[in-house]
Amino acid sequence: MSQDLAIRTHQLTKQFDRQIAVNDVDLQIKTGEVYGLIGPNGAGKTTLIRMLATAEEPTVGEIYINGERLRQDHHQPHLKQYIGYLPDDYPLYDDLTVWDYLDYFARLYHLRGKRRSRRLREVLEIVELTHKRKSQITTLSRGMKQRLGLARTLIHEPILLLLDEPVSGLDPIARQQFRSIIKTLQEAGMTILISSHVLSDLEELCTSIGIMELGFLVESAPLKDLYGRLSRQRLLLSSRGDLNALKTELSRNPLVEDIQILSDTQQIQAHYAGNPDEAADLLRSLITAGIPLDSFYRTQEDLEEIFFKIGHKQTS
Amino acid sequence: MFSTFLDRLGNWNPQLLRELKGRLKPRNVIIAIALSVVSQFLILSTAWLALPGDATPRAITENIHPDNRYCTGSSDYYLPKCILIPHTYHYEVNWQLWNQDLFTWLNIILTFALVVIGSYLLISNLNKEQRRGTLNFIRLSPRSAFNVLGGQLIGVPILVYLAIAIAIPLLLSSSSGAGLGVTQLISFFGLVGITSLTIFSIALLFGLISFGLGGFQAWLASGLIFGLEVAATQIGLHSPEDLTAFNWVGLFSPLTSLRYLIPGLDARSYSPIYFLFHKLEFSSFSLLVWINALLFITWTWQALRRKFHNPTVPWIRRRDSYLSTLCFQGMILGFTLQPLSSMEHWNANRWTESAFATVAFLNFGYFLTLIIALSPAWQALQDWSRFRQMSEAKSGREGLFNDLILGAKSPPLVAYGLNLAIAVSCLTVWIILSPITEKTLTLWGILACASLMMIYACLSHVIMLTRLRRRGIWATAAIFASFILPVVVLGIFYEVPKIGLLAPILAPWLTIFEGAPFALPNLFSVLIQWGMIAVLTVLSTQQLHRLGKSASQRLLVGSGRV
Repeated sequence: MSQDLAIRTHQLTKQFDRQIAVNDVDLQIKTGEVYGLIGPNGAGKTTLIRMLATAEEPTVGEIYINGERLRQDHHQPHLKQYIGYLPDDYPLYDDLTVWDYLDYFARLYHLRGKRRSRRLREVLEIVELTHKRKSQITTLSRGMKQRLGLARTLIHEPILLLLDEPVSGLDPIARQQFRSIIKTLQEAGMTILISSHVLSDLEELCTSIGIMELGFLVESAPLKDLYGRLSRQRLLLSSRGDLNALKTELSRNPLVEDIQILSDTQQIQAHYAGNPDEAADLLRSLITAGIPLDSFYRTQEDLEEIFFKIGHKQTS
Repeated sequence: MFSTFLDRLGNWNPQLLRELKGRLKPRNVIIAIALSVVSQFLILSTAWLALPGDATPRAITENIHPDNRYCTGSSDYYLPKCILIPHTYHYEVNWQLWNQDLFTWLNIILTFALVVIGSYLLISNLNKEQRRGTLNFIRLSPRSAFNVLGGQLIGVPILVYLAIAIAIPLLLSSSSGAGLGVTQLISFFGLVGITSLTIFSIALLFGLISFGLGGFQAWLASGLIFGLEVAATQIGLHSPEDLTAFNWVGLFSPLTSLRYLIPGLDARSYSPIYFLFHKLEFSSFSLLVWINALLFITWTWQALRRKFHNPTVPWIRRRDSYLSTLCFQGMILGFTLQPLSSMEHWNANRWTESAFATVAFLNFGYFLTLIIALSPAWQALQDWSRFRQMSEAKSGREGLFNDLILGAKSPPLVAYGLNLAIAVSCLTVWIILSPITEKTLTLWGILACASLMMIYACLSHVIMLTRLRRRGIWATAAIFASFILPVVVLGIFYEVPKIGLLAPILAPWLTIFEGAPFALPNLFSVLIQWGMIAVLTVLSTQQLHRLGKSASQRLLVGSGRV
């Protein structure tokens, strides 16, 4: 089974003075997964990622990358070759051009000759910076610098990407670009661990989610399982007529619960436990009952709502 | 062709290519060449001005000729008289001496420029990489510390190397004029290379470990290296007999070897240098420089490799520290072993005392450095104390003992004590074999000195385990105070003659060598020291236990449930 795991940690713990930043974490990420790590600031996400990237030494515990034990006291170049790490702050050499910067890192990772130039062109295309290859790094916008950082992370074709808050501080267009790049990488079969506060992005990208609180990994499951266990369906309705009549009609259906009138939008919100066919029956029954329905939406609680609902908001 | 070479160079060492690309810009290259040419011109002009000028008609008529260092006449007092070349206005010149002086001064200036400016550039570059955070990225790459730091070592001072390379023709011409053979010259350049590599390796290590000092560290280190080179050159060129072990410092300057190459310099030196009863000549001296440099380079690069991949580990592995101590004792004691005939005008006791003082001084420096080199980071000690039960459960008490002697995160005091024991053993053998008559007294002195170093190590350890903000500075201040205070007290209440600058280090020795009236029996003073060590060890053990208490235990104690 461990052969299929890109990352496995066992009792991974990191203590800074009296503060336990990461506490006894057993994390398992399958090969090819996009794993989203969420939690409040200070929950231990960055420390966990830094330990996986070999940038931080665990206090105790073990890390396995592709089944092989990672050891801080050993220089393991082949394991480093597997990992691409993009930290929250991404220092760059301002005196270099985009091409020279990537060329330098490509060489650090033993890429040679034509393979190196081809790879440089590929990553520039992936991060949409081909037109900027001769520009000085200082002249790039924040979004471009972030993408250049990602290009550096990808240059050596790692099989495991560790991205710490990669979209923080980016505008919506840059975020959209970043999401599409991650999707491309996911399609290429890369295993990606990504921590972010933008839960809508993670929802769109991830196959599994882990939630950290107080340094513990309190939840770790495929996104589908999480939705199945914790996400409820929701109905959002509006009427041209009396909302109370609509509320009364809805309360007759046993699959509808927690009906609320949203006074500011003149809508009704309720939780719903039925399937799509039963929702169609409900709509038909409302119309038959003469309710002048204006809108009828069936939605599901998103990741953000699940996160707030389960209430893991404590920092370590 | 050139681009293929650069590409291959970059494949072998990307860091080197990056440094070369960044530094070998036309403007920088022109400035380096210009500075080198101007400096050579100034040196050459100064040397030229030192020659005797042409004779004036009046001087010829009245037969009054000047004295000059480069003239060939007889020297009544200090400088030789100038002699006219028949039928000309020119004086005869001792060109060989002039070239020897030119060669000496060129080498002094170039060597100092190389090691001081080179070290400054290396440290400030490393500091910049660390401040910017880029070094962490390079650390995460599969390249070894040797590859990355080696690239910096060659690439960062490249303009200094270039400026020196421009001066090679003048060096060659002056060496030829000075009568130096090709083999001697190549050997000398080899010594310049290996000692510079030693100094640069130390500079890189300083750059890696002294990040907390901010931008000041490059100035501080290059100042210290300048001081070391001045001291090494002074000691190497003019080594008085009573310097003995200090001659080891002379191995850090290639200029020391000039005493063997330039006859005039050797004549000006006070005494020959001995090592293991053997009078050093150029070849044996060079061999010793190479051995010393290779030992230093090996251990410095071990430390660089460790600190590069994991900045929180101690510089030196404990197993290496024992061998390092042994080699260090071998090196410095080697210089004190001289044939009795070489010190015939000395009283053997006085001579040994003097040699002993130099050995004590150098050991003092070595063991102070070892306190830093063996100390794990505070966090590592806390982790060890908190989680060692896990490893102890597997390996038992034997495991704990092994961990204290060989581990990287355990408290360093046992390992430090073992290093002291190695040094004491070497010194004991040395004293037993030496001509000194007061052997027992001196052996007590060695023990007192080692105990004093152990007290410093314990004191530093106790301070490093506290929660003070700048523990390193507090520990340094405490050690400084504990060796300076006894001397201040002595200075106020008693006269301390003939001890001079060595007094601070010799604080416990004053009773031995000066026979002070307040002297306690030696056994008693060593017992007092051991008592202090015991108290400090208990204190540090208690601190470790406190640090190692688990968070939950602390919480339970807080809530009164335990």
